[in-house]
Amino acid sequence: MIWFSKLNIERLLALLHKITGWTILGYLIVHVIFVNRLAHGELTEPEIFKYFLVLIGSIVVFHAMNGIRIILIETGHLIPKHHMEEPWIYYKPHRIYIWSMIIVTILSFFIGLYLVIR
Amino acid sequence: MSFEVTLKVRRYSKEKGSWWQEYKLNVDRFTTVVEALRRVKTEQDPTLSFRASCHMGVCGSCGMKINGKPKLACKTLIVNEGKKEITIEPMDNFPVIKDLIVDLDSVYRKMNKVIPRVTPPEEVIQGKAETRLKPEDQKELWSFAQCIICGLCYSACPVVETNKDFLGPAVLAMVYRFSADPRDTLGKKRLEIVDDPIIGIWNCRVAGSCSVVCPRNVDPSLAIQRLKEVSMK
Repeated sequence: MIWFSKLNIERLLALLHKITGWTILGYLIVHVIFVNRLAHGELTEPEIFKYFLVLIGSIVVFHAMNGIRIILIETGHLIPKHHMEEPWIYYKPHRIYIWSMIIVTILSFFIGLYLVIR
Repeated sequence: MSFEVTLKVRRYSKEKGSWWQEYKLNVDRFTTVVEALRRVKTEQDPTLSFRASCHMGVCGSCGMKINGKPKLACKTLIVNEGKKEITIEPMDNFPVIKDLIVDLDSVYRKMNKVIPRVTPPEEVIQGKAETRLKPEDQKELWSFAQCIICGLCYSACPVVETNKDFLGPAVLAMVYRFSADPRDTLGKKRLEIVDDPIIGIWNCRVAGSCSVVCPRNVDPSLAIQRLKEVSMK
C-alpha cells in the first residue's frame, strides 16, 4: 500500500479525501435506513449518536474544503503561473489554503463538540 | 573519516523469490549509494544486480527505493541518509527482473501512445517555412523537457499502483511539454488521448509525490494540472 508512504502532505490529503468520501456515502446509506427504523418506532436514538454526528460534520467539512482545493488546482487558480525552483505543491497560496483547511476542520470539530456538550 | 554502514538490500530472483540481505562496509562522507553497491558487488557479492551508468544523475538508470523513498542512487549520499542502516529496495509499481532491476517497458509503451515528438506543420517539413521558439517559451518548456525517464515518479504515484493503465506522471509531463510547444501541431490530438477517463489526466488525485521525488525538478504534477486546465477550456 504505497498510499501510506511518508512523502508529502498532499498525498495524505488525497488518501483522506478517498476515505472521507466513502465514509460520507456509507453514512448517507446508514442514515436513510436508521431514520426509517426510527420513524417506525423500531429504534431509539442513542446518546452517543450526537458525538458521532459531530465527527461526521467535520468529515464533511474536510471533504468539501479539500474538494474545493482540487477544483481550484485543476482550474489553474491554485498553481503557479510559471515553473518554480521547487515542486509546485510548495506554492505559497496552496500552502496557505492547506493550513487554513486543516484549521477550519479542527475548529469545526471542537465547535460541534461544544454545541453538543453545553 | 570513514564509518561503517549496513546496506539492507531487498533481493529478488525468479527461482528464490524475494528476501533481505545485509552487507556491511566502510564508507566516507562522499560515498553515494551507487558507489556502495558497486563496492559490495566487487568485494563481497558478485551476484548482486542493479542498474547504473553515468553516476551523475543524467541517465536515470539507478532509480531505486532508498530508506523507503524513490531516489537516484547516484545522487544519494549515504551520510545524508542519517542512519547506520540503509534499506535499498527496487522501485514500486514495476515488475522486478532481478534484485534492484525493474522492467520499465510499460513506461516506454505508454510513451509511444502520446506521440512524444514535435510535429511541425507540413510547410516546415517541406522546408518552405520555419517556426521559431521564443526565449520565453523555451524557458517555460525547458524544465518540463528535463525528464530522464528514470521511473521514480511512477514508483511514488499512488494511482499507478491501482490503475496500471494510467499514463502516469512522466508521460503526461511529456504530453504537456510537446503540446505547449508553439512549433507543434498535434496538441489537440494529444489532448484527446489524455482526456480518456481510464488512462488519462483525470485519474490524477493531485497527491503531488511525483514532483517531490523527481530528481530533475520536472514537476510532472504541475504539468498534469496544466493539462487539466487546458482540457477544460
